[in-house]
Order: sequence, then C-alpha cells, then structure tokens
Amino acid sequence: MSDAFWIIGTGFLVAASCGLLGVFLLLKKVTMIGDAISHSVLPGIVIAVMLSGSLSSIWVFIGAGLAGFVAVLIIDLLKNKFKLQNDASLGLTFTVMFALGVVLISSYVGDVHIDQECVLYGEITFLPLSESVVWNGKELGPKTFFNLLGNFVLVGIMLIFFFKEFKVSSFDPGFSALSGIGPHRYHLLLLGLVSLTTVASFEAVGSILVVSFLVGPPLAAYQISRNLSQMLVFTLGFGLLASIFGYFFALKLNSSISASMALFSGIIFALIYLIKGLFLSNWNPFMKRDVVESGFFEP
Amino acid sequence: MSPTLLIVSSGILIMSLTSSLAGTFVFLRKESLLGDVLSHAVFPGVCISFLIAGEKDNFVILIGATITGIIAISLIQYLGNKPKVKQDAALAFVLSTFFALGIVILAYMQNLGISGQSGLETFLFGSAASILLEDFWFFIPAFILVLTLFGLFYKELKLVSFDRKFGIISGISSRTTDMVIGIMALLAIVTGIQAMGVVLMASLMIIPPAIGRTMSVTLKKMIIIAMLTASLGSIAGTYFSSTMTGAPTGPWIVLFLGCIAIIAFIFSPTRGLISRRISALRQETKIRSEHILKSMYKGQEDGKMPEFKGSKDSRGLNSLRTKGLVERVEGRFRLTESGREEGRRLVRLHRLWELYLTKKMGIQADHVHEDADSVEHIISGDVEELLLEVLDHPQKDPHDQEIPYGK
Repeated sequence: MSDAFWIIGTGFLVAASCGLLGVFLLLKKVTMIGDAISHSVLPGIVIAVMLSGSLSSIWVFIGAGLAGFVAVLIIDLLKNKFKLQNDASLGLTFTVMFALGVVLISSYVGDVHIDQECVLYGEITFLPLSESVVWNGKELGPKTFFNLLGNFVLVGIMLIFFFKEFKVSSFDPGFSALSGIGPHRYHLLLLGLVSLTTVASFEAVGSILVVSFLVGPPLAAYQISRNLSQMLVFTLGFGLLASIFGYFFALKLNSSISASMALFSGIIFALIYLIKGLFLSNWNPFMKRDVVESGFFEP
Repeated sequence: MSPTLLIVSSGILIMSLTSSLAGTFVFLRKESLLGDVLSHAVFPGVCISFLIAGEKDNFVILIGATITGIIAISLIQYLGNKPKVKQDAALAFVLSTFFALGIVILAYMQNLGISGQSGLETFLFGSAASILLEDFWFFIPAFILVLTLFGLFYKELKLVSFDRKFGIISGISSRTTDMVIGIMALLAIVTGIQAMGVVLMASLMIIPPAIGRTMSVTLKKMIIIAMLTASLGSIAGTYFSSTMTGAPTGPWIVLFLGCIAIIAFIFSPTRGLISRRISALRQETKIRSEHILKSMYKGQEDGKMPEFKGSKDSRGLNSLRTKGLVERVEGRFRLTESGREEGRRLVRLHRLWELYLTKKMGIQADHVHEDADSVEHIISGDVEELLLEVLDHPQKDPHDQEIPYGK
C-alpha cells in the first residue's frame, strides 16, 4: 500500500484517539491537563529508550506510564502538602519534567534516533521507512501504525464499555457521585487513557502537537452537535479531514506533515466557528424543528 | 570577564528580572498557564519575521513575536468568554494551533534550506549564547516599560490580584488591569525566548513567583525574592549549560529553578513544609494541654481525678509543667495556684460559649459541647468581656452547671 495511506491512516488514528478523549476533557474543562500530561511523560520515554535501545518497545509505555504517575503524584504533593495553587502546581511540574527530558536527550549518545526535533514534531514523515510489523513472513506495515491502532481500539472499547459512566461523570459530577458512579475514578481512568494515547502518538507527532488533536476536532464538533454521540462522531470526521488536508498541504508546501495536520485541526474549528458566527447564527441542521417550535427551550 | 560573557550575563539578568516581575501578577491572578500559552504563541511570529527579513535579525524577530503575542492575547480573551468555548479550551486551542503554525513555517524553511545555519531552532529550547549587543535595544526599553507599568498601576494591580471583586467594586477597571498584566507578560516572554526557548519560557514566570509566595507574606517581599531567585537560577543554568556541548540553555535553567523551588517549599521559614508542621504541632500541644487543664479543674470540682495516657497527653503535661501550671507531688499531678486560675478561665469560656450558642443562636443544648470545645482556645479577653455583657453575667450554663468566676 502507498505511503500516503500509512501516513494519513496514522494521522487519523492519532486524531481519533485524542479526539474521543478530548471530547471528555473539553466537557470537563480540563484540556490543559492533557497538555501537562503530554509534556510530563517525556523523561519516562527517554529513560526507557536509553535502557531498552528502541523507541517502540513495551518499556517505553511502562517508562512513560511511570513518568505520568510521578507527575500526578508531584502535582498532588505541591497542591496538598506544599499548599501551592492549582495552576502553578501544574505549570511547575510539567515544565520541570519536560526540561529533564530534554536535558537527558541532549546528553544522550546512542543508536536510536531520538533528538530534540522528534520531541517537537515526531517522525510521521519517515513512517514508511521505519520498522515494520512482519507476520507470517509478510510485511504488514509500519509498527507505529499498529501501535496506534491497538491504542485506538483500546480507547474505543473503554468508551463503549463505560459510556454511561463517562457521560454522567463529565456532565454532572455531583449527580454521578450520588448515583454511585465515583467521578474521581473515571477522571483518573480518563487521564490514564490520555497518557497512554500521548505515548502511543509520541513517535508519530512528538509530545507538543498532541494537544492540537486533543482540542481542535472536539471543539469544532462541540459547536454544531446537540448531543454527546453526535459530538463524538463529528470529532472523528474532523480528525479524518484534518489528517487528509494536513497531509496534502504539507506535501504541497514541502513542510512538516505532523505540524500541518495539527494546524488543520485548529483551522477546522476556526472555520466552523466563523461560518456559524458570521452567516448562520441561528442555524443548526441537527436541531429538530419541532423541539424548537414546541417551545422546549422557552423558560 | 570577556565582553561576550558580560553581554550574555546582563541579558540573562534583564530577562530574569522582567519575567519574574511580570510573572508575579500572572501567578497571583492564578493564570500561570496563560504564560505558557503566550510563549508558544509568539513562535509563529518569530518564524514569519525571519521569512520576511530573510535573515536572522533579532530586532525584527522580537517585533514579529510581539505582534503574534498580541493577536493570541486578544483571541484568548475573545474566545474565553464564549459559552461554547470557555477559558480552558481557548488556552489549549491558541497554544496548539499557533505552535503548529510555527512548526509548519519552520519545517518549510528548513526544507528550503534557508534556515540552515541561522539557528532559528535555538528559539525552541533556547540558547543564551545567541544574545547579542543589539538585542539590548529591545531588552532595556521592554524592561523599563514593564517597570513603568508596575510603578503606575501598583495599587490597582495589588488590589485586583488579592481581591478581584473588591477591586472592581472600588472602581478599578478589571479590563485595564488585565491588559496591563497581559502586556507585561508579553514583554517578558519576548525578552526571554532567546535564552529560554518558547517551550519552557513559561516556567521562568511560574517558578520564581511560586518561590516568592512560599517565602513571604507581603507582595513587596514576594516580588524581591522572585526576582532574586530568578536571576540566581537563570545565571546558574546558563553557565552550567555553556560548559557542555549541545546543551540547550532553557531546560537547564528550569532544572535549577526547580531545585531552588523544592528547597524553598520544604525549608522556607514562613510557609515551608517544616515550619508549617512545627506550628501545627505547637497548636496541637496547646489545645491538648488546655484540655488537660480543664479536665483537672473539673476533677477538683466533682472530686474525680482524670487519667492521662499516651504520648500526646504526656507532651501536654510536660508543657504545663514547664509553664508552672501543674506540679508533680508524690507521683501524682496537681494543679498549682496559677494552673487552677487558668483552668477556671477555660471552663468559664467553655460554658459561656455554650450558653451563648443556646441563648443567642437558638441551638439545642445537647449540640453545643463540641463547638465550645474548639472555640474556647481562641476566645480572647475582649471577646470574653463582650460575651459577659451580652449574656448579662450569667451564673449557670445550659447544662445547669456553675460558671466559675474569680476566686
């Protein structure tokens, strides 16, 4: 299969996993925590690469998972024991951990290609040249793609399985606690899935551009959806659009593919927001007419 | 000291002073992440001005960075108030989209081969060595502007930082102060990005104010400490990274600041972990020993001696003995004359408070004991006078027990 297929497919898998989780982060107004997590896992990834000698081994997931866990512990420690305010605890923890990761990278000399640039925008361009998954002597495709596919399936299964719980705990934590669905537990599960997705996406898009996929497609979908299921479907659609447009834009301009996909995630939101705001302020194709006319929204 | 070293270190010094001063107010507004977003958002400006100027002209770059920064601030303020976006999503959107745009332009230039040796990449993680003498034409005016804004708006900034609602009621325009803080933050970021890099610039505006906050209880002291630690950390980080080849400056400065922060959080004499533990322990011992005094006094009233056990009780008794309120006679503890007086005072306060709660607050008599148990320790002489006046010098408490006065 062609290079374009693998690259766009990989881009879509990043956008899809991030987008599905991003919807819940957006509804809970904690998208910036996603940003903090994606920065904090860096030292874990680097140490695992140094020890295992490979960027796609299971150790990278374990190392990054540990780093994410340590970050959550430090944030908690700063807030509760050292009485530092919330935003500063977050900002302090992730910048220091990210700095540690960069310092480790800059002092690392080894065979694996991991440098400061790959932290910034990943290696999606070189995907067709990277390590392949071989099954029964046949080359299936790039390993990163299949890692991301596995991650996407996991995220999908978790969301389908716990859809009700995620929904209730995002919209109304108080009611959720009363109904016996511990909102804290599902918050942690959500953050756990976010850090897993961040690590799976690291090789493709690096650790900073991930935020674009967490916020862009869900925010665009939020503008035109009238319920959660619609929002999730639109998010997937916008993620696909962003990876296709991003890919061809980058080819045309001869620029970074991952950054261009990230840029288009944002542009899609901007376009939808502008179109809706400028021309169709009362337009919503998915709002049922009878609901509006029945006066359901009147006080 | 060589001239280059002098230029670099004075540049670092100005950068640290500017960003810690601006950062203090961003920190006090509890919007530290705004600094993070802005520092990512100036990056496309850096790249576009490079594209236009065709070479690495630091001055043009700083102007370009300022322009995209202003666009980013306006966009955050506009989107942040929209019901279908809100602050958090607006921050994440502006951060990631602007940064992605910057990387697209950077990669475009790299593939054209026009950024080659220019070192535009150093803007990502910072390189103090790239500070040139010409940059001071931007650094010094920026620093003076930040200082001037600080001087002109000191009162307003202080009030709004500590009590926003009260500030607005007092007639201070929150829009103006928001803008002043935004401009200060932007100037600081643009000054700092060369040495710190866009990715980690924000930490220079978060960590020093956090250290200042933990070391002091007044705004003035907080600012001075933040400025001192910022200069110390960034100069140490710069020199350390310059001794190693290929080491970016930004991350090393952040690591040094992080270490200073941890030390301050633990050992700070005002709000550090240890000093807060000690004062909590002192308070606990005081409350425990006052309870002991009270129970011994009541034991004298009805003839039953209370029993003491456990380390907390013995710590309380020790503290009472050193104060001369309790003495040990033939292996048994006994109140001294002043101890009896103090015990009487505590029992009186306890019963007065119980009576106040039942009579004036309408609370049931069987609900007031716990509350009185915690309040009795903090009732001062003035409050006691007031209570006596309000209750008209009562004789009995709600449980029909004598309220003890004088001798």
